[in-house]
Amino acid sequence: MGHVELRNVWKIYDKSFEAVKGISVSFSDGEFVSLLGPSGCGKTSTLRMVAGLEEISRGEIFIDSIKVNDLEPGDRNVAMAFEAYALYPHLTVYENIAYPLRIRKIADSEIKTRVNEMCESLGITKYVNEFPSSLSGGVQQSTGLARALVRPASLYLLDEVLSHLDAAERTMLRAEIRRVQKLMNLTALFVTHDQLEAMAMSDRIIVMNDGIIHQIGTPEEIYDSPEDLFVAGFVGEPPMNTLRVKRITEDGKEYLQIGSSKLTSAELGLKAFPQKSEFIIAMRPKYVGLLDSSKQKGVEGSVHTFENLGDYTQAAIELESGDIVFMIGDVDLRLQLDEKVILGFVPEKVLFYDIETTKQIKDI
Amino acid sequence: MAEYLEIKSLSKEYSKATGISDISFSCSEGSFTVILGPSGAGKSTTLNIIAGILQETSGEVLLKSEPLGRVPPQKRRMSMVFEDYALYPTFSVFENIASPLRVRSFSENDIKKKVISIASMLGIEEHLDKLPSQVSGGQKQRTALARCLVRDADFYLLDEPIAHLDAKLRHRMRGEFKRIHRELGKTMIYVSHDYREALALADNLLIFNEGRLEQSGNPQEVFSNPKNTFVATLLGEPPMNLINYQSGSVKNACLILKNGSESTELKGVNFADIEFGRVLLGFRHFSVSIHDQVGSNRIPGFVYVWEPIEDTITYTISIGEDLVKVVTTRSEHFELNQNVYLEMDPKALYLFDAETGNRIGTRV
Repeated sequence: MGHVELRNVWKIYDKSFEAVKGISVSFSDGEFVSLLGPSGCGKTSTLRMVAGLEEISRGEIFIDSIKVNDLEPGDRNVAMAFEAYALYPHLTVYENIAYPLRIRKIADSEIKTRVNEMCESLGITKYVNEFPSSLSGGVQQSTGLARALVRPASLYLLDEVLSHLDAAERTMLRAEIRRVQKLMNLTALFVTHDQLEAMAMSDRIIVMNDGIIHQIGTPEEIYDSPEDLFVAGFVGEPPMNTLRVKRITEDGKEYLQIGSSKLTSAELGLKAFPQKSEFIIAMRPKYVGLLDSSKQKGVEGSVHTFENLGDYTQAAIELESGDIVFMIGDVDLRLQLDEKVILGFVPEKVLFYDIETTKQIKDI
Repeated sequence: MAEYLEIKSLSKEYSKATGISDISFSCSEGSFTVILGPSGAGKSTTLNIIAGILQETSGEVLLKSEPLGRVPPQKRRMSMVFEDYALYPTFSVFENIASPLRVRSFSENDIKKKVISIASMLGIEEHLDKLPSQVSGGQKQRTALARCLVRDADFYLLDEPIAHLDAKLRHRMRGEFKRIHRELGKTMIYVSHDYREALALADNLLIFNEGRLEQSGNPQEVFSNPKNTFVATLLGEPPMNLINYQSGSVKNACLILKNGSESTELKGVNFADIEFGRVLLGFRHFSVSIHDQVGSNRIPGFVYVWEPIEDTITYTISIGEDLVKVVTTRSEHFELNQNVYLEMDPKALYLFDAETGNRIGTRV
């Protein structure tokens, strides 16, 4: 139980605004899948169509091989938790969580076992007799989640459930949800605009923007090899460095012009360059390092900003072209503002992108 | 030598809420002071008293040894920016920034020069002709900041000036701020609840909690030598790990920690001999490694959850009643609920009294 498939699904509002433009994806039993994107990207419309809260304009959605397009939300066997906790204020934590079981006429002893287990898993056992108004946002959201997770369903839909919480609560609950989901082998679709949350919690991430899917992949795939410049810029903090570069030939030798520096592929440690006159090279700030200018050739720049952040350092290096390259360094690194530096990149981590299509260039 | 700006035993009592109690610190000329703490810590109260917007119950503020107590806010040569931008909606960005200069009757030429210079420093020079309603939230905040900084004042008070920007822009502005401070060379006090901002910007870091000054000093020093668990867990992400023990001792560089009949031995620690009751063992995520075998200086636990984050994995390990976080490379993999052993770096441990939260143990 828990197989979900979207086939060419569209959401068109008022006959003209295309919020979701023909997305297809399927996920399987026990998988935690995130819909990640900025506001207005179509992620919430997608979730609401799966839930049955929104009509499917075009295309088909299957849950456990049953087409659900024409099924009421209550008949789809999905459970949902929202950003706003929507707890019953006059019911205790226990009764809030028990509610979906009570309306399904489950025996009291069974309800007790399940509610207590769920409270234990989410660490809210000590609050079972409290009313929602007396609880912190984190405990209220845990209660909302427990209420969604307490009953068996083919699919659990989680809509921005961590967004309202403070940083410490968010980190804690993020870990609790992942643990419960893994231990109970639940299939879940999670909507978030927070790339870190998506990465930490998901088996796979669907990155959306403007109603289309930009990439579907594991957190590692999304981080290591973004399909296009949108994903590259959206995932990771500080984001992926992207530099527009020119391929030039002088005296029969081929160089890459990066800022004011001219470097051969050998000097950059790369096997080859894409066969285009201009393209974008990209690398994560973690894979940028400083070179010893007396020994190696690299990209010349000067220190625009430098920050010591406790257990690591971060610098923004300005190239002569005005481009900024972010780098993450060791805690011991010390740089002065405006100091001249030479940058190098970890060659196997360098990616190339096409300027027109913004897609990653993989065949070089 | 008298300090430039001196805050002496400042207190503010409210009938209900926590005010501030006995706050003392000083700022040398041209320095950057950051007040860091959670909401309700008394950060803004302190800033508002220095500004003269709020009346202190006792204590005083001195500028170049002169008490500011009787000087009304408009006569204090200070400039302030608030979290909500408070821009004039009918004025262009240019006129908003120029407004404090206009009331001081600068020549048109001077005004233009000053506004353009500060606007380009903050990257909003292209928007000078627009109205506040025509620019983004981030640009509004930078306009408010420019209006604050354009004035020539004795000191500048900045209350969470970039808190409303989205994460990516905030991280960029954090670095820019340091450049701006260096260029202007002015005395600034900056309020923040973001520890990275505080570490990155401060010459002098002040940690506030519940109206009290918990610790102050060089940010790296505060990071490496927190006085208590509050400071230790406020700085760092994931925060410092803490494990509870019922009692323990250090003898001949060997730390023994006890929980009931279980005893843990850590050899080669840099503490002087001591005996103690209930204690918290503190360590940062980067000074510990995970193993699947028993060994010396290793503490047993099990994998509570693991989360892939960027090119690392964050493991949450359950040890007794506590959860600790450890960051590893992707090449190490441990399963959910697997028994593991955390190897501690004996020179990177902290001890805190479990009752008071205060640091104990003398380093040798």
